[in-house]
Amino acid sequence: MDAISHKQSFWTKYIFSTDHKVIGMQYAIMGIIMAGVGGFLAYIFRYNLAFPGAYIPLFGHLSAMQYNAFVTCHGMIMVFWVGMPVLLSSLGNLLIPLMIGTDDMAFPTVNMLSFWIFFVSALVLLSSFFVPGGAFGGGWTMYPPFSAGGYVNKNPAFFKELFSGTSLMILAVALELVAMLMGGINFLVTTINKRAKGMTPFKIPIVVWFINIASVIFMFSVGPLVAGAFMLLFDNVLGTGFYDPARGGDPMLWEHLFWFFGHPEVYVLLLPALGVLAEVFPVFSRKPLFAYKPIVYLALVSAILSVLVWAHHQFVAGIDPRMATFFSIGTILISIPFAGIFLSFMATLWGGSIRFTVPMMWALGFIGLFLIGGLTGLYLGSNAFDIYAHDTYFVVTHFHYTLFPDIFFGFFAAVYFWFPKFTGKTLNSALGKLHFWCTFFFFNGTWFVLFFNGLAGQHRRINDYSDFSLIMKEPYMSFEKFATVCAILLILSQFIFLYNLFTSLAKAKTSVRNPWQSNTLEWLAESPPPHGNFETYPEVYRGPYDYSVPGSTEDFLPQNVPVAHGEAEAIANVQNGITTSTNTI
Amino acid sequence: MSKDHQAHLSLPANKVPEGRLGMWILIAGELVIFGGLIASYLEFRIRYPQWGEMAAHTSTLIGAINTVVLLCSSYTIVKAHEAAQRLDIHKVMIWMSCTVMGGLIFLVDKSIEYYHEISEGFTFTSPKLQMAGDHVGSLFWSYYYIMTGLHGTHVLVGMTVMIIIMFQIRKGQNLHRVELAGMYWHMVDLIWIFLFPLLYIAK
Amino acid sequence: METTSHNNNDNAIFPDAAHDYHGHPRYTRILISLLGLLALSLIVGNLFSLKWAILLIFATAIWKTALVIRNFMHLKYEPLLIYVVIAAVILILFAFFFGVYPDIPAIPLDVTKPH
Repeated sequence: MDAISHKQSFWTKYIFSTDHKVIGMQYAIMGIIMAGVGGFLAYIFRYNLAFPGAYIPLFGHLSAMQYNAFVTCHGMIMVFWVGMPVLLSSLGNLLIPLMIGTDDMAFPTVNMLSFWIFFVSALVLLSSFFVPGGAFGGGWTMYPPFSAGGYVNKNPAFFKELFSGTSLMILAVALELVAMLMGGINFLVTTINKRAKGMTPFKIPIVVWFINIASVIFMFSVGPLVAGAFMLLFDNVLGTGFYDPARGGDPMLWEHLFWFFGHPEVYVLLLPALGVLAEVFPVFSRKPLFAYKPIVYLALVSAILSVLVWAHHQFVAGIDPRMATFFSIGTILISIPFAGIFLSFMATLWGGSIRFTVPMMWALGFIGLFLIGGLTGLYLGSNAFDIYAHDTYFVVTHFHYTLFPDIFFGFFAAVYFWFPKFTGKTLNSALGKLHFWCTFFFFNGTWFVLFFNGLAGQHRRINDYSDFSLIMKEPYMSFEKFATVCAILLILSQFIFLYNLFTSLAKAKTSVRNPWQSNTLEWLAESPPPHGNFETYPEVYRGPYDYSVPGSTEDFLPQNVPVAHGEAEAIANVQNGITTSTNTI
Repeated sequence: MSKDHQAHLSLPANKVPEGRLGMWILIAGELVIFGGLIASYLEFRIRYPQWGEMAAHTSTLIGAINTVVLLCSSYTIVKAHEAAQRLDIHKVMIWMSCTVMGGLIFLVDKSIEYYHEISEGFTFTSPKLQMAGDHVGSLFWSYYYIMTGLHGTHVLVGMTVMIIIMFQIRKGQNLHRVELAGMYWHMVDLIWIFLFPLLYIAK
Repeated sequence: METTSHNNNDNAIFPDAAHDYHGHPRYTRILISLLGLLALSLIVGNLFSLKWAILLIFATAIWKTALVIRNFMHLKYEPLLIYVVIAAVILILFAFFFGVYPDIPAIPLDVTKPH
């Protein structure tokens, strides 16, 4: 199969490419553009929260309907059109074939189709802003009866409803899910079947493991939501009563169908970013990853638990209180595997020879901030506390302290780490550090104060708090203003990254193959890797984290370096405290 | 378990051909979608025992005929796969045509059944039932149409894919795709094996 | 420059009869069993008490499913991983069904009746 020698036109090389690297970058670019849209929406409604009723620069006055629509779309966009493409699709496409030492994905054409379906889904979502009635404004969770038009009109006009904001949002999400399902199949089959010779399962890099586990979680949990989305769509355009209590339906069914997927979805988003950390920490501590096999098993345990805890989003929705106990226990238990993974990361750093590069800083920042998010999750997972905290800014702050480090810190760690490989150029590290510190400070400035607002009882998804006397006083009003100012500065800080990106891309290639002195297979390829990836396909002899191996001259041993005669003995000698003339540490 | 079976149980996972592995994963994903829909239907079926009266209006005869048709078409597509492995293109075309015919008969039967049910007033929203004071009966029909409709769409997609593959087989290309299309078709058959008792027999 | 990917899998494109690892069970016998089970479920539906009818009808459905998936889809020749995938599907659906059970089936109809 001469996949390399055929001549490629502009269209097949850059637009409808089946090369996994091009597709990975297409997903990343789309994700960044949609992050810009989502960030702009956040700017608008945060400005309104700080200065109610004011004229918003670059936008105008914000009506209550628009506030609801923007809050809803901000959430939808950030989860489905930023988080998923950037962490799962982009990283999966870029990294998997290279890290397992093969030429491309198992199904390249399906891969290409999946991106373009994703692209169409983004267009459908954006179009919902411009139809009569505007975008849907009932929260990204789309609870009926509101999302079914309140069941006021039982004989809807089919085409009018089909092109309403609600239906377009449902269709956009459905298309996006289809694209992600296609991608997931590709990742799994590629990882199972196309690994390099000698790469047994426990020699696969953690990021590849985690992206595959995330794909499995996604594929198994999304099914009921697809079914539910069809039912909601038909309620809107055909006037059925799947969620209408007056006709025997039940809105609780939607909540269950949504959250049965919605909860595992956050772990689908989390695992790839944790995988990136698992690659970054060993390289910049020059130490093997601590407890590689337990990390894999912990991730599998968390995957299984993740589908058993969904109704902690429904504690006050009217579920059976006895089930609330069951889900509460599960939610608290699920913190254990993730704590195990975090402790392994810390053990990896412990005693290491730390290199404070930009990717390392993003990874460390992730750990600190996600810890806060995760701990507040334990509070919310206890159904008694959640009765008070549900729907307050405590919840909103919790999920921003988890999702923002996950999506943004994880993605930036990956970008700064793998940029030299995929472009052959280097990003300016001084600008990178400035980008990191600004993002870190302004993120915390935006969100930390809002914990207090949440604990004071400020509810979410409300446009105008002028009737809420407990909130309309100090310090909560000042906190809102402080948060908005920091949010604006946070958004502006991202321009540092964009400037760095464009100016670095404009420079000449340096084409260093392995600037970070890393072990994994992608660093063997040229920078950037050509179509087909490797000149000779590597054979794997060791795991991915052989750093500072006793007895070796280099402090890293790439996976394709054969195991030296006597290497095992040298390691055992050092571990047993025996020093001989052949041991060099 | 036969010795033959035991030997293969130890086969490493990466020996499954890519197309087949991908198809199994796709089937798993589709089964969860239908499973979610069927589970939702079952939840309500248990809550509303009076849906039994509504289910009495579905035609068990047509449902049974459709089950026979789908089972036989599963048989014909697997015989096509066997022929493909022998590289017997002529037989492959015959068996696959039978399968597509089976799908067509299924869709025609379904349409006849839908026509009868719609003319009795049982539609997606069944306004007649609403007006007669039956507050939960119409939900049965909403589920009935969405489940059988989604299934019918998959039958149509399966038939279309098979026809496309038949054009390729004629030129002697891509014979392995017969098995993959067959697996998809078996999945469609499996879903019907569950839909039939749920909607037709359990009254 | 090597153009083909290094791949453990020689069966990738077309597993012909001589090299594929799965055989062909007696398809005709399987079909007859399937049709027999269908006839059984129809008879049971009309004769027995409701509880037994439901039990037997779903048992035959499960048996038919097993026959199709093991023989027509050749699951019995596939490695353990595929069994795990199918088992996971079933377990996930059970988790969903029983998680939702107290909120929908367990609520009697009267609660939802409009007053």
